Amino acid sequence: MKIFQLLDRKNAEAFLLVIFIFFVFFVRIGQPWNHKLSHTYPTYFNANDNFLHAEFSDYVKEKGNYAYSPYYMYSGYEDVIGYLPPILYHLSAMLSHLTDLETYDTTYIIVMFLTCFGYLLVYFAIKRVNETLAILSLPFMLGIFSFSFEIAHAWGLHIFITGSFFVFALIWCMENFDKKYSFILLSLFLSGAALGHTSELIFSIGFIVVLFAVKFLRKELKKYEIKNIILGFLIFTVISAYYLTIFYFTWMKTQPFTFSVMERPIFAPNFSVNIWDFGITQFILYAGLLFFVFLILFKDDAEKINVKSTSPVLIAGIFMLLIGYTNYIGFNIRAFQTRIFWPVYLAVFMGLGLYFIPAHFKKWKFRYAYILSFLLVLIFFFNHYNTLLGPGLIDQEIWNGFKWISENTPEEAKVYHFYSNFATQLDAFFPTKRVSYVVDVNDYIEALKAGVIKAEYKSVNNALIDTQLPYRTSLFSYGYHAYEDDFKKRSENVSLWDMNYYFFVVKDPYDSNSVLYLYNNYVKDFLKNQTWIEEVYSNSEVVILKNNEPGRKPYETQ
Amino acid sequence: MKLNKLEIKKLNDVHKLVIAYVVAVAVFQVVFFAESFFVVAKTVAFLFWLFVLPGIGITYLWDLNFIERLALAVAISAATVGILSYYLGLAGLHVIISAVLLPLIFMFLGLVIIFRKKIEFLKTKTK
Repeated sequence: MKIFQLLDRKNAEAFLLVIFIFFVFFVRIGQPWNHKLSHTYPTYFNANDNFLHAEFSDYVKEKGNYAYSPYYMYSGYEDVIGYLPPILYHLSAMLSHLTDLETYDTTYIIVMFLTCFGYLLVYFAIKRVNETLAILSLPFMLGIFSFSFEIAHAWGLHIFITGSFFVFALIWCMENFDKKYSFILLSLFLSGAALGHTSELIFSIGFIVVLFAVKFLRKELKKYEIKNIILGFLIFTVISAYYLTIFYFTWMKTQPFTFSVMERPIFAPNFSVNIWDFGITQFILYAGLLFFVFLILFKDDAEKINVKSTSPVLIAGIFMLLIGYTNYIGFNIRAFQTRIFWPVYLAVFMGLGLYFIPAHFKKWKFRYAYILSFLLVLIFFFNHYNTLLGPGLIDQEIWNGFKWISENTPEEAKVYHFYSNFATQLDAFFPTKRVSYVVDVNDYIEALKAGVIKAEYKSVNNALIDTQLPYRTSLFSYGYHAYEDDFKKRSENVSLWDMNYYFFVVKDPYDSNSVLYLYNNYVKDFLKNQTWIEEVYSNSEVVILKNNEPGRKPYETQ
Repeated sequence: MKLNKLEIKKLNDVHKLVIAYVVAVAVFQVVFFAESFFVVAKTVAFLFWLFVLPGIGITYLWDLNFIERLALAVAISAATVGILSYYLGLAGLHVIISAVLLPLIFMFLGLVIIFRKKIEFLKTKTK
């Protein structure tokens, strides 16, 4: 029994938390990254957003600020304002400068770091309610493996994770709102959510409103809480006003809220998070939610087992559970995103599911709680083991091709990309740091089926038009390039022959669709046969051609 | 009144910070076992520089246990350093300067808070 004497309550907690964090890091980043911290190309980048956020970080690293957006992501416009939530990009750029790691590595490291410390903040928030409950809740934050819960990391919803981290911090803050100067934390975390991922700010405010409404109805609202809220919101307004103005004229103006029903998330139609993704543990969750209703109805019962039903962490759990279903009233993609972090928001109810009944018979012994928690952490770890593995969409040779473009072509060059396994993940082309056009994959496949090489293919202007290319004319006045004729010219009737460079993936070890690569080779040869087009770079997977006379078409010479 | 050594020690968590760094390096080294120790140690050091040290002093405004303090410090640091770096960037300060300057400023602020707490603590104890 000496081991138990050595592991006093404090040490046991530290041990459990370190082991938990170690396991989270191991399965979520260690394994996908082949246990390397620095990489020579973006590893485990599986979707658009991975590339997007890493590229923005790289841009901030190079430019030193995020006043404007990179022209090559916006069809060559240099005045598009920096409108995405900027915190992650700045933190990633800073870490990259300090460590010499590439921004595609630092971005991922930071979001994992924030995720883990977010878990800890929620754990400590639950601990304020009840220590045993916190110990029992912790393992469920990693939870049973379901890829739906892993989308945020694997598919690069990195700014969403950053914003969510500040929601976790806010939950801790509201749980500790009786502390002196807590309004400072409130203002910081609200601002963090605003500049981290603004939809998380909206949910944070909603959570605070609901929490205070519950407290008011139950006559538990204190004077100092109102004072702290007012002070906190005042400071938050000052800190965030500038960015929120940009947010208003970009996101809110171009994507106003409308009532609509979205049944599947557009970013992952096959991976919508549902309550049954909790697998066998969903029954513990249902039990926890049921016990929570008991606690509301029977106040004496709540006192007996020492769990206050109006605790912010419990209210936050219910609130985020409901937010997860607001895809039926117009919150669409943001509602689905929130579901990804249900394991964290709802962990307290899982803990309650385990804690509730035994607590009625006998006081929980910490030793048993720790042992049970440790066992669950272990089970969930092995459940995740070897589930998230690399390498991702691109490999070293393709990355070398991208780097060649970014380092050896004029800044105003236009690059045309033919088929590759990432041709539908258009943000993957942004690391070339050049304005890019991408072949319409459907049109390309049709041409292949017809057995012809066309002189023109349908093309996509690879510009981020989510907010219609906003530019500022004065502090409160904006224009939008996407509504102007000039942008239409840049996007419609795009000719292959106007491009400066052609990027071909001629072989891809991760893609078995070899017919399309064979077709790529034929098209490449067709272009290369034109006297004004020459090969300027090649490796085992990539060929880059240079068009020395943009605008010249083959029929003029043939 | 003679001061209890343990009580004064409560305000001096430097050794705990060092232990936290060593534990973090150990965790990172095992997770990223294919990486060199130097890269791991450097990365963790700068993670602490950006995400722990700027906020840890500010957390001494409240009475917390050390791991909770550490988690809160990460949230405070990410918010303060991230937001200020953005605004300073708009004002023309390159992000690389913010990476050095901002943690230093917040560490100084943290030290002032700890120092004042220490004085307050000593005053109440000697009364």
